[in-house]
Amino acid sequence: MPLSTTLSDAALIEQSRRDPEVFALLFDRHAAHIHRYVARRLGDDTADDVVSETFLAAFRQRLDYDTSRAEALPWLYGIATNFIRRHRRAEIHRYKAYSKMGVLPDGGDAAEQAVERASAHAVRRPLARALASLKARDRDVLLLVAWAELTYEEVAGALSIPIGTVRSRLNRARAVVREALGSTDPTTEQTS
Amino acid sequence: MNELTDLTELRDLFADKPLPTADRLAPARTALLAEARAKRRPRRARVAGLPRLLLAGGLVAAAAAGAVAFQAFTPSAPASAAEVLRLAAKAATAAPWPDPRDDQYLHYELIAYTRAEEGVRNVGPRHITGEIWASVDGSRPGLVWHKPATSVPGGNEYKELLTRCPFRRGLTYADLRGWPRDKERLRRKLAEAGDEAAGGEDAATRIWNGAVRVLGTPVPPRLQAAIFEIAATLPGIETEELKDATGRSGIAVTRVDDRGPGGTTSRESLIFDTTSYVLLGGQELVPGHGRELWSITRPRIIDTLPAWSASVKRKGCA
Repeated sequence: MPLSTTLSDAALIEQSRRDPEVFALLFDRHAAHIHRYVARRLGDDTADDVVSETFLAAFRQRLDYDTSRAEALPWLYGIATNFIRRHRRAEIHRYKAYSKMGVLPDGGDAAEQAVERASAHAVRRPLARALASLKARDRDVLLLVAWAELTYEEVAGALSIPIGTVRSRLNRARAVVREALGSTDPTTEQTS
Repeated sequence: MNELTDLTELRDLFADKPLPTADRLAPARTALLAEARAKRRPRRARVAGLPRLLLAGGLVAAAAAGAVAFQAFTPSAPASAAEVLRLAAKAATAAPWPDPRDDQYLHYELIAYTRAEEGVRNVGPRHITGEIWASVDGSRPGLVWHKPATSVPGGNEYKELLTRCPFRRGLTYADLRGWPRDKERLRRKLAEAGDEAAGGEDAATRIWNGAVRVLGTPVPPRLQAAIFEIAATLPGIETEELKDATGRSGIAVTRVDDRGPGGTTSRESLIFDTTSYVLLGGQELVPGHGRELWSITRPRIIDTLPAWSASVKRKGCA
């Protein structure tokens, strides 16, 4: 059975310290998910660059990876987040464009965009506007939870912040999102 | 709207973004593999502080001039490897520096370079000359000032602030200060550190690897002495004369193992001043592949980073 299916991420990283090319197996395991996450924030072209930078940085840091953490995905998301921050203005521009036009500036062909525009109903545009209005650090936490599906503890590890900070940033970001949704759907709002 | 509606709606936003194709990811995978292959020779899994710095970015690759002396042990050199290490232990505690506070910094200079032997591809020479400011307890950003090496005309210069990365277990000076003084427990700590660096080796090799890794950054003098005393008990150590990364001649204690590429021989050395027995630096030599040299000089304790660091770009982590 190939290494890529039998070893944990931590074991692969440990092995890559002696045999660097093994790190490519970690790429094969996680690059697509990291790419999709980054592409949702920045578009495919920028995601190509961010994914490349992320895995090169991860490879260079592999000696210091804490191998007691079997899953490396949060670590990779943390590194990717650092690179995403370099494109903060482009990200905000992207969300604002979507909130105004109902399509992304880096979207597909005209026919696809027409369909997308039609389906960009009244919820999605305010959502995108809310994302654009968030502080970068709050947006990072919110999207690592909502899009990367990390737990609070994993987000804390990924961003090297206390878990209490994760909760406070998430609460702050969700309040903004709920407010945006509330403007289109005035139903009840609950605290979490 | 229930309490999770906001997250549910958000999860749906741009959720039709498909996973990328293998073709799309291919250039990134190729770049990763190219770097991985470049790291295969010479293998050096030890000296955590050094590779971290070497990999911090902006490595200068150029034709470094200057030969590195590698001579066999001569009869005039002092005594046995164990005796050299015991003298080094005495030297470490003879002139200790004061114990720094957690909120202070250790400031030191580092010179290091990697040189491939002729015909070996994808390894240096890489040369780094710089100053490091390391937060004693790791709670504050560190600072790296990478200067152009004198042997690398036109080399670049950069300064960067480095915070600690998530999931990293890089040892701080404060961590080392808390290490056990009991020799058996310290042997275990060194073996753990050596295992993180290379793994899968026998106990003596793990302890030696751990010792070299830890000694790659400033270490509390009493701990440094204890490490030398433990290293003196390891089998397979020998002495030779070597020059350190700054060109100073020293007496080296070398341990030979088979950690080189394809199980070839690797000679890992600590280099000491020939009269004071103060640690000058180290070297790893893989015959037929290349060598890596490093030296740490002028360690001192300071309260704050230099004022100019306020304008230095802060990296996410390193």
